[in-house]
Amino acid sequence: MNIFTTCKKFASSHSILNLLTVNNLTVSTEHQSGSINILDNLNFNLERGKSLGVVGESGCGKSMMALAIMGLLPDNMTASGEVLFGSNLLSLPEKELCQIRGNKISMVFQEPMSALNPVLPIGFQVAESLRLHKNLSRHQAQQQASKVLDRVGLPSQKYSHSLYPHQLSGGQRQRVVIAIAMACSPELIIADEPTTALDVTIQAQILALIAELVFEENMSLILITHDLGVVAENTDEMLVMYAGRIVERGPTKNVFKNLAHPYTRGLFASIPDSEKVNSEQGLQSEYSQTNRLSTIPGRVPEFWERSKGCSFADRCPRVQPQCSSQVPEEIQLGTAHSTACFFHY
Amino acid sequence: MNQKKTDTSLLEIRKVVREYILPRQQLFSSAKRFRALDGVSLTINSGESFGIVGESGCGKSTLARTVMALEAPQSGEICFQGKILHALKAKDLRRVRSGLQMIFQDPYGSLDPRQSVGKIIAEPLSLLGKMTLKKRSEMVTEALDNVGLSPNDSVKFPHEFSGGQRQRIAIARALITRPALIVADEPVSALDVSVQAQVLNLMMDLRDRHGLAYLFISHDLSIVRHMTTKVAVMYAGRIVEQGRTQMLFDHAQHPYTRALLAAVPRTDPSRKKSKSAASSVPKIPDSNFETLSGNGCAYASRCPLVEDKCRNISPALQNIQAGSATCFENNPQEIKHKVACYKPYAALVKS
Repeated sequence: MNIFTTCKKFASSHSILNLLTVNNLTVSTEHQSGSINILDNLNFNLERGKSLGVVGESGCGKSMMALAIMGLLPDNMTASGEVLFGSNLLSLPEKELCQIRGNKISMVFQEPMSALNPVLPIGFQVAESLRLHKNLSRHQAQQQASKVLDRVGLPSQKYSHSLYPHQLSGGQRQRVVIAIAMACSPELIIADEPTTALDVTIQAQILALIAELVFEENMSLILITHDLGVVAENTDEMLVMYAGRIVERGPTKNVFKNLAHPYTRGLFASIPDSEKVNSEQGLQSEYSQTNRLSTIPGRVPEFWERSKGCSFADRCPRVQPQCSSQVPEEIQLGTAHSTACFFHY
Repeated sequence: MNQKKTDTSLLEIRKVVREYILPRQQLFSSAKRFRALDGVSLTINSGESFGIVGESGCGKSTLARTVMALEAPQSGEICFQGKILHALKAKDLRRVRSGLQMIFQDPYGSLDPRQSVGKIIAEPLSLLGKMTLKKRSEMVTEALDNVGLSPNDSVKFPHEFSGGQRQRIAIARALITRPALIVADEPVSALDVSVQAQVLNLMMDLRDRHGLAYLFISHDLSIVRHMTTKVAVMYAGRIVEQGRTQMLFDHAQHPYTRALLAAVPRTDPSRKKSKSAASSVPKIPDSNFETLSGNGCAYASRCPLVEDKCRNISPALQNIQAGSATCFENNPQEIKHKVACYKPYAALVKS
């Protein structure tokens, strides 16, 4: 009995299904006016084999979140809270983190040219993490690397693995970056704007490749992007971030069915897309006019400009006095769908 | 407004070819040439927005630079307000340039960080000849007002502004000479989604208020669809399809256009790919424009419908007859929906 209750207790905080649990993750930095939170109390779970989309504009902290999970924050920032991935990553010493990075959790970066080393051949770069984490010999690692490169669509018959990054196109380079991330069969892949620098046709291929690999290896994926379309088509669950906080979350389908937070709505409405799915949802009222794009007035506040209450308050069409003094708590709207807004839709 | 209300078109591009000489592979080998523009023709009427879409490397930006007379074409001509740009003398070209302005992609790179905003915006005024300081500052104030910035901003420096505001400054600089045509090369791709919409709205307002024409270059199809009335799809330096925006997007004919449209992610979760079915993605190999041979359709190596004919003779831009004839109004200014392909979609549907 005793064991059962402890198990239950354990399960509630860090379910066995959950690969990654983030509790109260706060990242702060020193600024002229004192300590400022760049990320403010983030909480979320990610189940094994699921994909999570993180949407937000630049400056909302989505990349910071990725760096905090990987333990790669710049020196002037400190993280507190818990990032449970087996153990709490935030309290692990650097040496043990190195065992996890690139091995259990790996990252796909936005700009493939700067993520790759320009003076090393691509085969070597893929083999590097294999030699480091899997203790393979140089020869074995090279062979394994060839297999991985074949997997991501760069077969060795056509693309010699002694090519250098500058000899490849943008899409091919991003495939190499994915190969490096995939090489050690990690349990979690964090893709930070993996397709922003690419053309639409290549973007579709790269996203399909990531989806395929993630499915076949039963990995989990965190897909960070500013593109609502990319999230809609590629993720099971999503978080919408604004100014360091999560403002809306839920299964992707549910969120798109009922965009609850004014920011999510504004973001959705400002995309010029004639084939929007829920245009009949009354988006006309506050946002769109005929033939003009609806906009969110103002801009994303810099992290030192964030207000005391809801940080979206001064751009929000539904703002009330309460908003600028109090930070809204998350409100449950339905199955797993919640939003942090007093006056949500 | 120095824009003439005439029946003739504002900008006419006729069979423009622009080649670049690639570096020699070996000391004595002959240098290869890369055709960035291969016989591009299009017409823009005043007050009209014309969109150019295509992947990176297809020649969009070269077209912009050629239209701006920053580069001379090897053959063909560019006619702006009835004058052939590259045939003009430097002095005359300077005069024409005031009617022709450009907005660049990166608002961080295109504004001199050491000049005040007022100075940046006033710089194109030197094209208009001498003017008094008072007149100058009046025009700067007006330009700032036009783009929704305050006159006090003219003493500030670019670093004091956000990305969206910087792009407004770039637009003010383009507007100050009262141009008839603005070439906008990816004007919002460096901006956040919510700010993007603000800048696009501003551009549409200015078009309506000042009768501007835009040559709007973007890789974002949904933005082009929203902003323009006519559009041309470029591939490897050629126009493969052109027509009225609505028409072209709703009834895309060229396999490349169709692949482009299919690749745009939509905000519709029901389109989420079934896990293992990456096959739904059109399998287009990566573009490799440099290895093109002179003959044949440039898209042949990536095209799912390729035939022997495509590899040998390049298809010319032709009107589409099937089913779409009813949609054209009897207006000589209207462009016809044209496609350069032996197997356009309409023909496939028929058979």
